[in-house]
Amino acid sequence: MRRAAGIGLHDGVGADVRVGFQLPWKGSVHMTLTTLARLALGRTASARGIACLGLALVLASAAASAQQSAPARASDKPLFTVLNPTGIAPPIDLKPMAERPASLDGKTVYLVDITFNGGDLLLRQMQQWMAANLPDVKTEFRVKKGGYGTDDPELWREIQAAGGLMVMAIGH
Amino acid sequence: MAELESNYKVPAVGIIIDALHDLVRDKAVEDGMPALRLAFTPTPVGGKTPVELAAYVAGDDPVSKRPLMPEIVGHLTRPLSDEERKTGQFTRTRKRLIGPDTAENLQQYFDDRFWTDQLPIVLPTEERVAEMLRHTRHRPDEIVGQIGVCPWVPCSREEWQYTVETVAINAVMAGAKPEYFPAILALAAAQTNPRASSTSSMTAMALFNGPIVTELNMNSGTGALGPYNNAGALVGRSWALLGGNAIGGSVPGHTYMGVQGNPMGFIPAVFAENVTGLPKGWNPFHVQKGFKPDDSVVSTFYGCQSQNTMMVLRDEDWQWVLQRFIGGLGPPNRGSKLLLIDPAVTGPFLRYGFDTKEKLIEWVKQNVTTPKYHYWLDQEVINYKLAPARAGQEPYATWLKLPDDAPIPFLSDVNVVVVGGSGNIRWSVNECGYSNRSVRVDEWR
Repeated sequence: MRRAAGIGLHDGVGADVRVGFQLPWKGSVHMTLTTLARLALGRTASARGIACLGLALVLASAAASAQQSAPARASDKPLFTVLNPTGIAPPIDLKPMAERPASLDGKTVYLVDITFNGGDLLLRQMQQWMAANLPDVKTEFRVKKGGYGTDDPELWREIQAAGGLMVMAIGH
Repeated sequence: MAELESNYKVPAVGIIIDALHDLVRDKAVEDGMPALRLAFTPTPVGGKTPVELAAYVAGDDPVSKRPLMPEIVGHLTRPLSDEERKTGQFTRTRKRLIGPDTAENLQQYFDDRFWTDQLPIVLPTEERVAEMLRHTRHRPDEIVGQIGVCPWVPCSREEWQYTVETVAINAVMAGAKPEYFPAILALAAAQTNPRASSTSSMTAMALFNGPIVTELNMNSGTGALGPYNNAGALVGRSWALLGGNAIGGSVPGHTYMGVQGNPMGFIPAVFAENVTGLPKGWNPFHVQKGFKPDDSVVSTFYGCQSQNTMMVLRDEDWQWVLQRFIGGLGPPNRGSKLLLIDPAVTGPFLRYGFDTKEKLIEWVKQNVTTPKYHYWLDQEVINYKLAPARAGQEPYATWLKLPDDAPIPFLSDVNVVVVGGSGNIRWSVNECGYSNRSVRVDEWR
């Protein structure tokens, strides 16, 4: 039997005390303590016997309660609300990308070196590959002015005026 | 590249090493072009021979796993998607309050987002932050500054703003005492980021001068740059946490790219100048920068990568030693040096004629050199100085034309601070450069 509801003690231990049990094959069963005692101890169960049974049931109930709430107490740690330590991100303006041509044939691809970590050597290899594999595509190697983070509007205008496209290396 | 596509209508592809994949995608979002078309090579490109690079070109993009060159052609010719045509603005919101949850779970939550230094924090409850805020007259929502992943501002990546409250939250997390808060705010107002994202793993330092040193019992003696002073350690930790969190977290691969990291940046050194140890004629650092002696000032230094120490100079060879010791610390691209001189070794410097800090600084700038041949072979110099030199920027344009054995006086930013407890005749040099930012603490009380 598994304990279901708690045992409520009314006026002393006796006939008025009702206990409830969960029987797997039957469901909830409720009966008076007197009836239970007579079932457990026999039809001649004395008042003392009923009281002992009642006390045992109370102790068993207390033990069951202790077992069921032990996990709940372990998780009853204090809870905290804290403030977010991060700063304020700026809004982002989405920018549209440039439309692509259907093909590179007849176009000029600018290979732009930003003078960082050997990007020029990589672009030269790319230029050789394109010469061998894309004979109808012209390439122009350019070194961007200034440091790698510096803008070079003059170069961008040249590429734009030529209707060109760009491959830039090597990013950092 | 985003500007080139949107303003000049030039179709473009960026080539980057695959080790920087996350970073460059983040940058594309920040620049308003999340779908920027990128291709990747194996890492590294620098140092590879033409034959090795030809193999890269003939091989696959290590990120997409597709042949590199056809992919580049595809990026230049594939029609735009609806996503790639999008315009408009979006904002990134954040929850002001986090929880309620257990202390353990909150620590884990903060650790997972790299909002901590992976050490236990003091939870920034509203009560604790309110107590911290009581130590300044500035409003909690007042903007203190803005920084990005760069050591300085303006930054080539986006800059995030931080308020007085943001600074207070990070100060609580660090375990700072509320009476430290004006000093922490002043340091925050210097807008120098000790959690800067450089592949060099550079970090920062902060120097306090003036009455604030006594007020907070800061250290200018034994162990001054180490974890031996409460104010120094906790102001430093507050500053470091703020540097990472002000930009949303110092996240490896995204907002922190230091290839190896730097123990100097774990908790950046925050210390005081030993004014009682200053020789006559040597002014305190803040006075050199135009402040009054009784101004309480914090000054920041960035680009800090390494530090070395030596013992007292000898009359026989002090010039050779100074040139070798100072010039040999780090590659010649780095034009900054910070001399940390213990009071016990100032005597020889005075004997050699350096009766002011300025004379010593000038001597170092003129006499610590490297041969032109070796200067222009340094990869950092090539990365940062070669293009400006070819574009005519001085002094690099002139240096490019010198004979191979000509000495290049590559130091442009040299500073001297007296600090130490005189337990031995030692002094140090590091590569920190003055940020040109010194802030009065009193403005933040």
